[in-house]
Amino acid sequence: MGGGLTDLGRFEEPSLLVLTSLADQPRHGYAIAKDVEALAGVRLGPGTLYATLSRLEARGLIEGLPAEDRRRPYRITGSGRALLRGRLERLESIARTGLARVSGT
Amino acid sequence: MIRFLLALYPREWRRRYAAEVLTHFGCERIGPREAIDLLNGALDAHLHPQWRHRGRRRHRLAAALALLAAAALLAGVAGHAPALLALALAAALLGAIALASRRRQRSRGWRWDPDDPAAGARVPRKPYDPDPEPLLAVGQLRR
Repeated sequence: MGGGLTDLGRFEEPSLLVLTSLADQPRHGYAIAKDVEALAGVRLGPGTLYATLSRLEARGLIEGLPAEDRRRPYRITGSGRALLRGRLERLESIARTGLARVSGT
Repeated sequence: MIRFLLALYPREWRRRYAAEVLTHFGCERIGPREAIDLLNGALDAHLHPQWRHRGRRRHRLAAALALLAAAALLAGVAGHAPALLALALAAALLGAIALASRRRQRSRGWRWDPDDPAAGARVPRKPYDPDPEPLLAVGQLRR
């Protein structure tokens, strides 16, 4: 099972957004799409969303919970959380440096 | 519309996700953007080793090319892009050729051996009989 997201190609950004959406609580597919739209202004179509979910599941970064009324919630795993934390810390460092440079301080 | 698009996904993928997608997105309006997204997803699923079905290679290639043709056709019509329409035509032609091409015989030179236990499932051809017994006797059909 691969641990990173960089080899996911065009699914790297949706993967990061889906993991972020699942970081606080389990959500089902439609709730993930709506949360990502509210969070980042990115509208994930059903094709992209489920291609991303299947990749993350195959890598053990998320797991499907028992379906409730044909809606299966997904939960982030320990390795998914660790990977997300690493990526966000790196992004935060880049954002901090970038903002400092833009401000000229 | 969404049911038709989901039918283009591999069977294993549909078993796992189709009910969910229908529950969540079945009532949503499917515009060209969502339709292209689902077609892209179907193409991706057919090419991804996780969902690749066990059909013949030329069938998989034909399915992938048909999906590409459909996606390019939709994108070309939606965006009034002649280049995408040409791509759709080319992909559809290649898909048809892939489907029509004969599969190379893998069993070239094979002969049935009655002593070979591995050949047990094969039914041996009946030896040639130059003077077979007629199914109906001459005059049997006459009244």
